[in-house]
Amino acid sequence: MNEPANKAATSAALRSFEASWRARPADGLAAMRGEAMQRFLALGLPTPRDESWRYTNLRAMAAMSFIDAPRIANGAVTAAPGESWIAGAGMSAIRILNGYPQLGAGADSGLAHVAVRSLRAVAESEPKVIAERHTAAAESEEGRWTLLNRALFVDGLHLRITGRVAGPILIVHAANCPDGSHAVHSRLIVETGPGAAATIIEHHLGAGGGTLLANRATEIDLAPGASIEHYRVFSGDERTTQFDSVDVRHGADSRCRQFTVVLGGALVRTDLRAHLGGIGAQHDSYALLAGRGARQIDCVNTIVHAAPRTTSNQTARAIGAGSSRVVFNSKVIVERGAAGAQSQQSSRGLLLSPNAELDTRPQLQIHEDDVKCAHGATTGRLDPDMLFYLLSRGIERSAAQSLLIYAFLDDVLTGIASMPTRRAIEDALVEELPDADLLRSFR
Amino acid sequence: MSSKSQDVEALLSQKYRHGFVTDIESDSLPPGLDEGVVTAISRIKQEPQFLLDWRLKAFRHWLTMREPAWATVRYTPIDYQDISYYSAPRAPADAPKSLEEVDPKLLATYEKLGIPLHERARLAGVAVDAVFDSVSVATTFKEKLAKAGVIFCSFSEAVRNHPELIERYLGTVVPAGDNFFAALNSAVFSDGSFVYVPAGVRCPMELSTYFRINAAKTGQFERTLIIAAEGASVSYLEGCTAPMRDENQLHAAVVELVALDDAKIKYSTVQNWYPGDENGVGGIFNFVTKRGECRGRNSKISWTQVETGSAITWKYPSCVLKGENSVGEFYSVAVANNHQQADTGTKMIHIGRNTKSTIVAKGISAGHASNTYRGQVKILPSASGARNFTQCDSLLMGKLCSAHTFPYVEVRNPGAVVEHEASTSKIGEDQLFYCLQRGVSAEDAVNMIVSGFCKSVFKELPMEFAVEAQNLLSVSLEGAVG
Amino acid sequence: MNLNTGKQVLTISNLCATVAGKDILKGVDLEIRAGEVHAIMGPNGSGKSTLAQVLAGREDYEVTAGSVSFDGVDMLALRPEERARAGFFLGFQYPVEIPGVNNAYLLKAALNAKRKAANLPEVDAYEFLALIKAKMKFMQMDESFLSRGVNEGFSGGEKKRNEILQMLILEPKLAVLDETDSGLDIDALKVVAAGVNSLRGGEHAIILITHYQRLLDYIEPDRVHVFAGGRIQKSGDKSLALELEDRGYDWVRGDRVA
Repeated sequence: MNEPANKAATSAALRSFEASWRARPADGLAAMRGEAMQRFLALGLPTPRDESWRYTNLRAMAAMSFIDAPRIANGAVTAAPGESWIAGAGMSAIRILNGYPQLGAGADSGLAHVAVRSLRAVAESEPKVIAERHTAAAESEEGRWTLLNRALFVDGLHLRITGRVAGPILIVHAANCPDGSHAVHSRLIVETGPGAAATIIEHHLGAGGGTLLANRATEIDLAPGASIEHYRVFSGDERTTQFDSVDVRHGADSRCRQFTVVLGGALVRTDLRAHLGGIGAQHDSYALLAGRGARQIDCVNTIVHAAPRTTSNQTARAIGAGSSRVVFNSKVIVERGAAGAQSQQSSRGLLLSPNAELDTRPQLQIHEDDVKCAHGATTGRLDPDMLFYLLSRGIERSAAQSLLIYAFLDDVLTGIASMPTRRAIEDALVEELPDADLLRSFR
Repeated sequence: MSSKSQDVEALLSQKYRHGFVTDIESDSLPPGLDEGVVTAISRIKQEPQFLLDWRLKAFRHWLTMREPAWATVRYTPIDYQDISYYSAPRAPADAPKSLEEVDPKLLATYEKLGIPLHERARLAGVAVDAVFDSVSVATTFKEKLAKAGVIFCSFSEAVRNHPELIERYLGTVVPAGDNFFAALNSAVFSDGSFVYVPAGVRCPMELSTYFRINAAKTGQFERTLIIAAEGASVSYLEGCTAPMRDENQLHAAVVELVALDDAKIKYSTVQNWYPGDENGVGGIFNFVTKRGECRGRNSKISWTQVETGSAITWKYPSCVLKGENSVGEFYSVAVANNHQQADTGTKMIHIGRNTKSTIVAKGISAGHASNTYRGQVKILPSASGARNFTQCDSLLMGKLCSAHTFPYVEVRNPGAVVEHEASTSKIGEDQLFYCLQRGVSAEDAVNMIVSGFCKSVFKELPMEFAVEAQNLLSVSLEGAVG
Repeated sequence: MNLNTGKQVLTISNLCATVAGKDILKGVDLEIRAGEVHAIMGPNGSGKSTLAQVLAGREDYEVTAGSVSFDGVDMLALRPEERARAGFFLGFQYPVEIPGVNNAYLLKAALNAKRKAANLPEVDAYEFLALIKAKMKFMQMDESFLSRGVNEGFSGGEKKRNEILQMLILEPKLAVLDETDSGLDIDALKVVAAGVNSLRGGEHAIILITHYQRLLDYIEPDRVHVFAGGRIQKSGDKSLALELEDRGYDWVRGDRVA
């Protein structure tokens, strides 16, 4: 009955990760890396027996060997694939290629109130800043990919935000890998000062060529009163696997609006952990999960209310077309003492194909009586009454369907405060649906 | 609210009302479990070979299984070799043929519980198949049921008199190796109830069984099988109370329901086993597998449960909706107080076209208790037009309890519609204050509010059960003002 | 009798339909000419609304016998959207809310779908805005309706006004208004009636499905049909409606031909 637990030596993937780890320099982070690697190997690759991996089977991946994506020096590549379609006026863009940020010589973003450094630079000058960080992810078994990231990341970004930043900061994660299976482990650390405010957009592009495993971790620390709007948009190709983890730690009265938008990739696993540890903090998360083709999307949110009068709202819209499988797995935990916590969740799934599957797990774990939590989850087809109404007004069936699919996503789209971002995401969505012309006329 | 929560503590300390031990000598097998014990049970009960084979197969499978660890419950490990797997009350050589032949002490036990068997049976028109420990000792109203063609008897009797029905249906809903506790039950089940309602027959009365757990260190392994043939309908009531003990007792029952074309089965439970004392000492471990299969088209299976007892409840009455247009329902109130742990819910597996299911689960936590709803709604690709509506609400009373909701909604048919709603909150202070201001005592106010919270489940219970359930609820929560 | 000699717009012969295996329409016969307004009255559950839905092409209903000729073509062979583009309009009894689909954009898309089918050029945004604003003013609707989702959060009366607004924009050859008067206060009823009356005459034919005579005080029908038991039991001029009001539907039921 019981499969043997994954052991270090049992899969090619684990062996290749171990080999990558052995190749890491013996610098100030070596101890941290070693500990994380040992824990990762002890846990092994997740199997469907792990509650949080119930719907995503990594058997095929286990048989693959991954090598580190090559380092591409600043300016070495002029024609990297996949320019971000989000880039727009008023945005400051930073490119991260194969996990290495492409920063100018001065390492200065040119933005007021933002200090940008490469993580490698931080590791060299102040390794403690990284080595002594603790994240909820790395503490839990669910966070095993974060452990691997900690063991293997070679570079990334460190943003220190001290005031109100005008315009979004766009971080484009691109990869340029030749044939073969490559892994990119990169990390983004965002620290904020009291009252700081910024919009950060992470756009994840595909590999261009070979098979890519992008194992990324983002950590956002919110000082009291800080406010961050964070987006992660995935538009990789069908050879891209994403394990993407976002950890948000909330100080008092801080606010985070977090958007997870999946429009591409073969397998996209997104983890969001919001720890509401400051009184009066609020976390609003939005997920737009577009499953088509053979895509697998596994969106896992864990919201922890650990302080009084904290608020969380979750809005998720999932579409299952083709032979895709889309999972929305949300867990809200209210710890003892978090009196006055309020949590809302609205999750809706639209199943468009007999070969697709939608799985929803709206979980609540409540250890405090002074709470108000309400969850609503629905899964269904396009509403036949709505469809008939549109048909009866002369709209073509396929167009009517597109229109309703688009309308279904409205609650997430209208939540996007950054207009250029919203436009760009809408444009990308429209291209995914039939009758794009008609849809465009509706905007 | 602080003074109020002290009141809560006081009220919560209410002692278990049904706690006592009846002194009846028992014929028991010594503790321990191996193939010899399984064979001995089967021999004592003079079972046919197929049943012994089935038990042994289940036992061998059980040996390969591990106790499940996924439920949100904690308990000290059970030593399965320290349990006696068979005990029978001392009785005349043959089973009693009427109430007069029943051990008077046993009848007195029912009196203490406030369930005067004969009176209740006569007044309410309810046939009672009383299970005392492991062997059925009294069955009433058999004649009236026989006239209608309904078979209602102990499981052992059914094995003797209707072996073909047992062989045909046993284990077809809950296979012998379904889960750890079901496999154990399949190997060593002692007795239970059997119901067969033939085609076209509406069972003329509610069928009712009162289970008791009695002999010390005796795990109780009930096996219930209910079959409603084409167009038949039956309502079955199961009620439980238990004597007070300091030792945890294991109870691992299996209930199987089969509904053929156009058949309806309604299964109602009021479970009030000993929950342990206010310090969490003692109490029943209730690890039950209940599942119904809507095998025929237009069939319907409805589970209603009011769970107030046991130290640990692990129970998911489920429906496998195979037949086209079949309907599954689950209505549940689960109350956990003091150190009780309840992990309960349902599974609705939609296989047939246009199958429908409804889940209404109300959980109430008080004291140090933990109350978990765990439910799965699975829509298979074949279940076009399937519908599910789920509502699960939790009410918290006190600072030290917890409430969890773990739903699994898995949809694989684009024509299905599934809705899930959940809420968690504490008992409304405004509502409480309103009642207090109108001169209602805090305790009555809580009762009123809680029974309002549970109303949508209570209304599904048969009338005579609804009253009992209401009483149980107020007893379980006495003092739990939040 | 009316002296209208307009072109035959709709001819229904012996129309029978079932829903979930149950017979609802049991041999409906009806003819209507351009320029005419007919009222179909009948008790609840008589099948009036089913007739409207079957004409619009709802898939839940199965036509088991009979024919429907609309402007010379076999309407039953057309898909719902083709019927709409051919000039058929259903004013829904319960207009559905479609959050996320903009009201004005839907109307523009509907209008252009119809114009495209008729080989007419699409209206541009400017023309459309001028058109819809004029019609909204006529229907006494607030301009905020333009930016809202289809029927989203509308009151019952607002939904009905929106249906009439759509009708005025789409200018159908035949409009079937299913219980458009239900749930309206007297002021709203007058506005709705004015909307209907403004379309009256010329090429347009209108069928009013209603339970009460009240609407007919404001829209005078050329013909009145009494619908019961899945078919038209009795037809006459507007006086029939008044007689019904006096004698109740039992009168027709009793009068029913076997």
